[in-house]
Amino acid sequence: MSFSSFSEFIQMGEHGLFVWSCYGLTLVVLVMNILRPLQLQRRLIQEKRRAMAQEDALSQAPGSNQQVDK
Amino acid sequence: MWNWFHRLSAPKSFFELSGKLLPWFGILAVLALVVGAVWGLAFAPPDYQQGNSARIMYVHVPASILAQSSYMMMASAALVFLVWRIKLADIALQCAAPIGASITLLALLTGAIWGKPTWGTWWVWDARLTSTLILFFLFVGVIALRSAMDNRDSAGRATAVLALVGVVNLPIIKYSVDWWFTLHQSASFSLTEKPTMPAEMWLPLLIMVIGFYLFFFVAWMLRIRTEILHREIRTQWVRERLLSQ
Repeated sequence: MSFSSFSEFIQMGEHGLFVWSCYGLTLVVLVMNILRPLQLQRRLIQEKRRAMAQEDALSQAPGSNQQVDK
Repeated sequence: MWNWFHRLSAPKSFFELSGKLLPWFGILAVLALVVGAVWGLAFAPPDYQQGNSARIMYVHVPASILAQSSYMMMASAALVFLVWRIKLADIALQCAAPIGASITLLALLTGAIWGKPTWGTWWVWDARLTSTLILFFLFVGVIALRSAMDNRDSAGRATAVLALVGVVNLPIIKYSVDWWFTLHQSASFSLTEKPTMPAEMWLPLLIMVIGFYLFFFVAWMLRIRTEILHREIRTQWVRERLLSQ
């Protein structure tokens, strides 16, 4: 451990703001790059499920002559 | 071998294989990044000249290395796509660009923040910094070109050509610190020579570099999987997959 107290660790000499902003930026960039594709993927799957449910409802409706190819 | 390669490059089999591998790569990436960051922030010694601002190295150097490597990987995908017309390579090319752009931006920003207390300035228009800025614009160019073209085939070819042409920038970044006068120090880390810094500093740095590479593969796989799903949403295998879940 190269610091003797927690406040010393936060202050980083007089460079606390520089060091911590770099690590903060890194965290933001890395996390965004993981969350963004996951969010897109979830949205795609939700839309597809909704469309599939709609197709099922249409093909099962009585008197419906709409055929949905499976 | 060729047969195996072809089967793997089919979007469906890639989707299944990457789904199995992803959790493991994710765990390893988080592990390496947490260990490296804690080690670099709290346990590594301060630099005898720069003090604690040198701890920025543990994010700036991995980000810069990954920025260049991710361009190289994107350009490799471009080459594979142009030569063999493999659909997956086109997807990989498209998906590497936004990650590469954000990592290059991170390298530029952390470099600027490190430059202020060390050089006394956020930015200088020297060869290393300028060529890295060009790298950022190349990534942005690939994204912009792709979204500007409606036809997927011609968009794929055009971005692949742009990505390949941009490769000339990589040796310029690498040798910029030797060819031109610059504030930026030359590499103190290489595959072939013993590092010039003590082990308490290069070990956490090495772990961070590995962590950044693992992160890139996880982020890349996630994007590729999302794009496969997007392109193949009308196919039978996607429908069956969704029904079985």
